Parts: sequence; structure tokens; C-alpha cells
Amino acid sequence: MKGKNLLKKNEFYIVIIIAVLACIIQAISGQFFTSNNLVDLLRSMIVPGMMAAGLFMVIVSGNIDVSFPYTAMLCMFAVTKWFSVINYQGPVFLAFLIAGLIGLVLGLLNGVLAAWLKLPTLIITLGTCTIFLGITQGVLQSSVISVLPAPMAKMAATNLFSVVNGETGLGSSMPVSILFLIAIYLIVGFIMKYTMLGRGIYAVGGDPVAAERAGFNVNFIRIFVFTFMGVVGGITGITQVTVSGMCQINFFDGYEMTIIAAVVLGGANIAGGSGTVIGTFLGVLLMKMISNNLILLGIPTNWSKFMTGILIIAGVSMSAYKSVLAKRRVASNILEDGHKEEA
Amino acid sequence: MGKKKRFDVKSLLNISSNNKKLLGMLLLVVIVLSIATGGSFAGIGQFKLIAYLFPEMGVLALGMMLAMVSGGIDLTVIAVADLAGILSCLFMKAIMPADAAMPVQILVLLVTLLFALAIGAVCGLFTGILIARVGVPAMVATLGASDIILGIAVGITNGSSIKELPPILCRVVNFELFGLIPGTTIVFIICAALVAFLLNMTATGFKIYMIGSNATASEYSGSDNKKILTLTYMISGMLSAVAGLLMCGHFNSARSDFGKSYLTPAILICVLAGVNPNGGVGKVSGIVLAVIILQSLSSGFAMFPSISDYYKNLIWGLVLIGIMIMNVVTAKKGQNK
Repeated sequence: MKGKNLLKKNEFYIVIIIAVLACIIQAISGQFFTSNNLVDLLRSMIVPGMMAAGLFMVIVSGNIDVSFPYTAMLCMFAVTKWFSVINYQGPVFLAFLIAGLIGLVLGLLNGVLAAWLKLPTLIITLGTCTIFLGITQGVLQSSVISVLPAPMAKMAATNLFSVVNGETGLGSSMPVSILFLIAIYLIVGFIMKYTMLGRGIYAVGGDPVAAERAGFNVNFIRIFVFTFMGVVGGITGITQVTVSGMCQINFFDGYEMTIIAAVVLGGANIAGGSGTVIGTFLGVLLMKMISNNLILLGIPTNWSKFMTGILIIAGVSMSAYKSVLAKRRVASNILEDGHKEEA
Repeated sequence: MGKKKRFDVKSLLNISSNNKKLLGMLLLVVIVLSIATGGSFAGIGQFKLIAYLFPEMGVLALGMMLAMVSGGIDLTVIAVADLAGILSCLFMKAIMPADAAMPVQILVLLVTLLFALAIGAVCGLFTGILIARVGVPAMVATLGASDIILGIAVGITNGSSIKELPPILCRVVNFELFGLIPGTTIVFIICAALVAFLLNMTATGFKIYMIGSNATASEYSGSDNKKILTLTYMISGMLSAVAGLLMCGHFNSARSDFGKSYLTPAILICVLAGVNPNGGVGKVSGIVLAVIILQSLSSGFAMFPSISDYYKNLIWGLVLIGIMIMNVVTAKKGQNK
């Protein structure tokens, strides 16, 4: 596990990249290792981090989901709007519960369609995401909600702790929802590592036919990962509201790309079957470090989309090429063995 | 090959069952919308409008179809259309001499078209290499590449639009043959004919189908999968570039988010047309019918001001999922027989 194997681990390299990048940003701007920047970084990781944990499971199972930002958006507006209308005053917990339930239904829809139709899940979720978007914009007529219901506003104003940078006077505070982020990573880590279900998710991603023969219920696993993603999406929607203190239709613009990129950067194989939850977390960290510090790095914001693309392509190319090489090695080994036997 | 060509005349008359279904659907859509709008949908104005608008989506769908037939998917189509539109508009503005004569203007437009095709080909080459040589799954490769390509488009324009284009592009796009057939339709017919020729009459087209139905078998039968796949994405890129030019002509400007709303419809058209997302199956004739159906629906909805534009998304999504369910159910029924 230690020493030699460390060099083989994907996470090891991501940590090195993160460390080097941190030093570069620090050297250029002198603003990286400041208390408020680090808190800001963690704060900006909450929402993408939670989504990445859910998507990590979907990707390991060999599927893809592009509808989760829209699930989050729909849940965010549906719950906030409803609570505003009925002037809800109870505990904020209920908001998360309802959003989670709506997300569950939407995720279940994705999962059932994926298990039933057996078509590329990208196309299925692309279809459902336009439905979700249509419901949010058309039926709910949502664009901006600036005044939140009292319990949610209260949560938005509550912080775990605040820090102030002595030199610049800039302050930053840590929202309570960081606990959700930690909780979701613990849950996903536990499921993936210590339960039969988690093993099944890896197995289905590796080879669905083999997994079925080994006795795993492939359809159940497909439905589970999408449903879990839906629940996480719903909860994330409300989390976003409590972090930013308002609802906006463009909160999750382009999130499907960024999150997929983060998970893939974290070492999960996009074709399914491998990846670790720690890697996913590191992937999100790296992603956010770059996008938060683009200006500090001297890259204009207009080129941030371009940078995301480069990152994704670099990340996936590396892992894809590695497996191509591995295949070639296996093929050449077989050939060599054959020659030896002939000799 | 000689034998095959003789059969093609027959197969043109012999309409496939999927196309029969599509023709029925088109008829139904036209009749229902005509009744619902009190006959104004069936008018010549509406016909011209549909003929003017559908090629943008149609040309994109042709590119998407090629990728899908080869067993992949090309999500870069809209990004390539946007980038090619922006760059070729900048290019055209730069080389167009002030108050040029008509022949010169047409020449400049042709050069611009070549320029756009080159951009599409380069973008396609990039994604093609990623997919065929590096081995990145088509979906992620094109998802990432579309961010890069669109990122360049946003970076160059800062998100604002390029205006005051030379009038020739707009004039060609809005040109009407015999006062009836819009220029865009002619462009679409040319593109569709070329793609149909490629898929049905050439060895390359046959190989694209083969890769889509079984890549391993195709590799062992001696076709160079890598070359064919790269070529497929290059052609898809060039078609997207043409769609980009059409959009610029339509809006008489270029902007990095023109194509944004076309991705789902493009995939929807392919699925509706009976292209199998798992590869190997798909016909140009299906695409032609599907795109006309979709544009008729879209234009039909536009005639009811009470239906908000946002509901369009909802309807597209429902139709896409509905068609997929229908296709799978009919396929399962066929198996049971």
C-alpha cells in the first residue's frame, strides 16, 4: 500500500499538481495561502463538490448524467417558491427533505429510463434535462428570487466561523453547509468501499455482462445511482440557495461540464469501473483552484471556458491513453509468450 | 458497386417502414396544426418560413447523424457552428473590398465558405484524433472539445456579437429560387445529397456503417477504423460550419451563443429519424423527414402566442423521450415475433 504503490496512485499525482499550482499562485499573487482565500476556496467547493460525489457514482457505474444541474435548479425554485407562497416558518430541514424527495423522483425517472431503454444515458438525460428546464422556466416561470423564506434566509446568515485577512482586510465566512459536503463524501465513500452495492457499482461499470453473471442486479444498480444523483441534486439546489442567499436561473450554467471534468480529473474512468471518492474530491479542489484563481493567474475570465475544456481533454486523454497502452502491452505479452512456446 | 447502384433506384421507391411512420407523422402534424390554426398553417407563407428555417437544424443533424452512425456522438456541432460562423464573418469582413462589384462579392463569399469548411475540418480533425487515436470515448471527447472550441469563440468575441457583415451573405441566405424555394433549403439539399452519396455509394460510407455496428469486426476485416472515424468527425465538423454560416446569414450577425439551443433538437432529429444511438443504423431520408416534422411543430407552436417559448424545451424533451420509448417498444415487439 505504501511506498512503491504510492507512485502508482492517481491521487498522488493530483496532490502534487495541486501543491505545485498552489505554490505558483502564491508566488505570482502572494494571495493564495491567506485565511480568507482558503475559506473562500472551500466555500466555493461545497456545491460542485456535493454534485461531483453523486456523479462519481454514476460515472463509476459506466453511465453519465447531464441532467443533475437542472434537477438542482428545479428543486431550488420549486421549494423556495412554494415556501415563499405559504410563508413557511418551520425548521429549514423540511426544505432539504422536500427538495431531496423531488430530486429522488426526477432521478428515479432517469434511472428507470436508463435501465429500461438501454440507450446511451447521455441522450436519455439530455432529454430529461430539457424537460426539467422546461418545467422550471415554463411551468414555474422562474428567473430570480431575491427574498428568501425566513428559515432559509436564517440559514444563509448563519456561519460556522469567519476569518478576516489582517493585511487586506478582506473577510470570508464558512457556511454551515460545509457539513453536508463532508457528510455526502463520507456516505459515498462508505457505500463504494464497504457495501455490496458499492462493489456492484464498480462491477457494472467494469463489465455489465460479467456483473450480471456474477449475480448483481444490474438494473437495480443503474436505477440506484441515478436516484442517488437525483437526491444529491435536490439537496444541492437548496444548499446553493443557503450559500448564496438568493435563487438565480443561471446558477448552474455549464455545471454538467465542469463537474464531469472534475470527476474525470480525479481519476475516475469515464467508461466506468474505476475511480476513488478521494480522487473526486481532489479533482473538484483542483478545478476550483484553477477557476477561482484565473484572474490571479493572469487569464482573462472570457477564456475560462477554454481553460475548462483544455483541462477536461488533458485529463481524459491521459487516462484514455493509459488504457490504450495497457491493452497494447497485454496484446504484445500474449504474442511474446506465444513466440516463446513456439521456440 | 455496379450492382448496388442498379438496386438503389428501386430502393428509392421502396420506402422503409420507419420513413412510412415519419411520413404519417408529418401528415398528422400538418393536418392537426392546419385545423388548430384555422387553415393559416397550410398557407404558402408558412411553407416558405418552414423551408427557410429548417436547414440550420437539418445540416447540424446531418453531422450529428454521421457521428451516431459510426457509433459515437458529436456534441461539438453547435460549438463548431458558432466558432466557424464567428471566424468566417471576421474573415469575410476583413477581405471584402469596399463597394465591391457583385461577382467579386460572390467570389469573396465562396472563399469564406472554403475558410469555414477548413475551420470545421480542423475542429473535426481535433476531435477525431482524440477519439480514434487517443481512445477517448466520443461523448467525453466531444463534450470537452466543444468547451475548447466554444471557449475560443467566447474568448475572441468577449461574448458580444459581430455585426455589420457584408450584405452578400444575408442576400444569398434570403435568396428565393422562383420566389418559392429559399437559399437555405438549396444549401440543405446539397448537403443532404452529398451525405447520402457518401453513405450509400462509397466504400467509406459502408465502412462508417460497419464501424458503428461492430468496430472490432470492422477492424479485423481490414478497414482502417482510425482513419475512417477521424474522417467522419471531420465531415461532421464541415457540415456544422455550413450550419454556422447559415445562422450568421439568418441573424445577419455572428455570436458565440447562437447555436446553444440547437443541441437537443439535433439529437432529437437523429433519434426521430431512426438513427440508432448505438451505431450502425441511420438514413439521410429519415433525417430530412424528421427535421421537417420538427420545424413544422416548432413553427406551429410559434403561431400560438399563448404558448411561451420556454414550453418548447419541455415539449422537445418529452418528444425525445417518447420517441425513444416508442422505438424500444416496437423493437421488442419485433423480437417477440
